[in-house]
Amino acid sequence: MRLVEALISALMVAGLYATMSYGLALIYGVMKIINLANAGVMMLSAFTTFFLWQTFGLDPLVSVFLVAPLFFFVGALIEVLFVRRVLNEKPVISLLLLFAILLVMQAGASLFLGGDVRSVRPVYIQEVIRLGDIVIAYNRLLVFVAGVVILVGLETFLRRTFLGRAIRALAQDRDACRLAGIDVRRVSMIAFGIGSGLAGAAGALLTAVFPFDPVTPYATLQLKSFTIIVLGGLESIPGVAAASFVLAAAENLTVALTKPQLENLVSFILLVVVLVVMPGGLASLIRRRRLA
Amino acid sequence: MKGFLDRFSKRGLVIGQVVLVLGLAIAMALIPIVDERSFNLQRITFFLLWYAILASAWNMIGGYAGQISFGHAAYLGMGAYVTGILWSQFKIDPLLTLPFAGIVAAGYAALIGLPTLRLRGPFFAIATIGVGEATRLFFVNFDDIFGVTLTKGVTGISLPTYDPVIVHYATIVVFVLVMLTTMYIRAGRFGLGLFAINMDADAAETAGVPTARLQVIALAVSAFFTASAGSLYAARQQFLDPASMFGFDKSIGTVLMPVVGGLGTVWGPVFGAVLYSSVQDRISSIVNNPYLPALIYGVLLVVIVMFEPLGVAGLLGRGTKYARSLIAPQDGEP
Repeated sequence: MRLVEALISALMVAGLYATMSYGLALIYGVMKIINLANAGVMMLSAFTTFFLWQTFGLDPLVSVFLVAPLFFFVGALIEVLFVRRVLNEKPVISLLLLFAILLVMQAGASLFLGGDVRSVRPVYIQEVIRLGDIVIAYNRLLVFVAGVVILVGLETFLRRTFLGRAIRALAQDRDACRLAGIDVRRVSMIAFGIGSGLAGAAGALLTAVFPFDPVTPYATLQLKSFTIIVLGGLESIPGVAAASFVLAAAENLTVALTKPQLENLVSFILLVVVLVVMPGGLASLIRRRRLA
Repeated sequence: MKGFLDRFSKRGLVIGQVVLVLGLAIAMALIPIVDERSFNLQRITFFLLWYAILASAWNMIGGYAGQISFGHAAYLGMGAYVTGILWSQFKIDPLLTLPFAGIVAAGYAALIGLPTLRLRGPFFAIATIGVGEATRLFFVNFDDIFGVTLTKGVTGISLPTYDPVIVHYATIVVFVLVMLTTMYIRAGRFGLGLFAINMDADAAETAGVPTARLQVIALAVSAFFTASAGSLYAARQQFLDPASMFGFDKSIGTVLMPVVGGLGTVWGPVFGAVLYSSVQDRISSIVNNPYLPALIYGVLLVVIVMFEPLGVAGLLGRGTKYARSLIAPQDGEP
């Protein structure tokens, strides 16, 4: 029974993981850079959500719809001011630049907002749903549903609209897009904005489940999202979703079976194992099956 | 004729730099002899050289090969702990354990590098974020996992005192070794290979450069020197704990110094270390808020990456052609 409960709990967390990782995957797909500032955006968004809750009593699930567009613009601004200028440089440069931006975000938040641990406690935080013997936390279920809605909405946007198709085309071949008359710079900016908006949404959802502070989200969440997109094959929503579940399940089982402190080791070990055994991620595994 | 002159001036440059390193080393070696009670100056010199070792070691993989490591604190802490444990529990002279600590860290680095450096793209950089955190967790939980009392978890270990003057000389020796190594790599085929990987890994591979092997070796050498810095720290300071030795701020510092000083240059990391150690020294005495320096470093890093990717070395190199040839690379940009 504990096993089933751990898996269901993993599924709930996977919604959040998928939301935060897909932004990273989208930006990597379109621009071939790893947005190290992703975790920084999540942290700023978590703070924004916290203050919205504190001052106006807004529920994090409502804040998502305010915070995500806000961080879309923040992301677009970062792209225009910084990332765009180093896109033609070596990959080292963009990596260092985004790392520096993360550093500024973290230090700025710690300096001006204080380094305390905060948490948003909506009225329903204690509520649970019982299905026979299985107990599901109400807030986790809501976060899971919100994550699924966001990802399905995004997938629809990417498949049905012209802009969405342009973004997907850009992920496939930048030069061909230029030849086809797509405004590559504008679409890149929008893609970076959407990626940051997703990180913003994830940051808002995060507050409903976990406590947070300005620095902690960095190492662990950044590494988790990277493990997920490597495992998920870098560019597909179903891959990212499946990988999110795999990681969350591995973490929950580790916590249930061994020591809770080892939770953060899981994502790292999983990352190394994936890089050694199947560098293409889960998607390559499925593809190999299909060919065979 | 021109080729001959080039070769001559190139050799002159190398000799000039070696003389410079040895001159610096002798000057610093004289400090405890001239004034036996210059403890504060000795402390400043130790940390200056210590940071220079860390920065130059990081530069070998991060600057030359362009593989950014955000987890060098793992090797630093590992070196410190190997020496610390052997010194406090088994009474082995810390300076004798230094090469051993270096080799352990180099082996560990190779183990991490083998899967992650094989692949194109930022895999290594991201994996290293985990390396630092995972290694810290491993050392915190070490005693529980193996049922022993060695690392003493988060409380850390206290060490017996050791003669700081001997550590002073040992640090100078390690500094000279790291500088000679970094110049040797820079001047030879090994360095050329790493630069080729930095510029275009696929093209380098096609041209016959064993990209994976060179990078793993560079990482192992880098980890070796980083761990020796850890050993030196354990010999000089009387206390080690996971939060300070494996801390993410240590990793950030090792990235910051070479980038600020001049990525992929021989002297850039030393400039960066001079700046960083003097700022660290001042800041800790003026403000006790640790976030203000972090904010300043972050802004500085953004500015440098955007406008002068070669850092201080790049700025100096703009001045004269001679300075450029001394500091900036001779063969191809890094």
